[in-house]
Amino acid sequence: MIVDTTEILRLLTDHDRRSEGFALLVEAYTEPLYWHLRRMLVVHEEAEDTLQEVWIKVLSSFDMYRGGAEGLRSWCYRIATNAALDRLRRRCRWRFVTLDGVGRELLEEFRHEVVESADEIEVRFQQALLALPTKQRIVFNLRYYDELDYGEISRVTGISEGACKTNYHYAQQRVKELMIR
Amino acid sequence: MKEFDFDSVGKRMPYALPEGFFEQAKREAVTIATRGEQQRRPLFFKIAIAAAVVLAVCGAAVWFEDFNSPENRYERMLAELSSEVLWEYACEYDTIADGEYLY
Repeated sequence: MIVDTTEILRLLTDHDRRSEGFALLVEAYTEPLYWHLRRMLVVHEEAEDTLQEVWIKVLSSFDMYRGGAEGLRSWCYRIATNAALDRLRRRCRWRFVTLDGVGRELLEEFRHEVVESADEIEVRFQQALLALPTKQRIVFNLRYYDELDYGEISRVTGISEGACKTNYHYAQQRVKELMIR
Repeated sequence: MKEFDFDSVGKRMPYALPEGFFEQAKREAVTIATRGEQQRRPLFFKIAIAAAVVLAVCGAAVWFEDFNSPENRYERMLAELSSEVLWEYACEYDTIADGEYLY
């Protein structure tokens, strides 16, 4: 799907046509953002609720957006990533576990979220991803599934491009190890 | 050693998803956002409402101050007392004999 972010941005900055621009933004990014959240949070209801929060946040904070059309996608992903991390951190607080420790809980929940007809290799692949440290998992997902370049991933995660490449490399190696076991 | 081939999985994911979820999610997002936008009044109206409230409070304060000034309070008190009450009041403290009245 080709997204004309220039047109979306033009409509969003026009106060009278903002809702039109927002509808286009929702149309373009609902699916990728949902899947990004789902891969982070695993449970459908959690991803669904967070996605609604993300859209409200996008619209309410758009006046503060200073990037161009090319940065619109990474800005939406950044809001979504932060919203998902907030949810995971809230879990940490209640259960006295680290952010990476939540990954083990997600692995448990993952079992209930899998479609019956899923291939074994798909299931094992997701389990391998959930076993990764949170930062590596986010970088890997953004690169592998969402095909963001390292510059965009850097803007989403707030870490340098070099660190993003290193994280992706380590994540790839770890997934390979887990998959051939 | 055999290497894992990422292409063997591709981008497929095993997650279950309710039917028609994305259409519903898009509709809900637009509805919630539109509702939120309608609730958000433009800045001009916010300033106008705030200015009106400030003016009303200042006006009420000035009126209250004037209403309770000593002169106004005395005049109001006099006006509230009927002539009959004034007469009784005068009689009570009267030390002049009846015959000495001028009327």
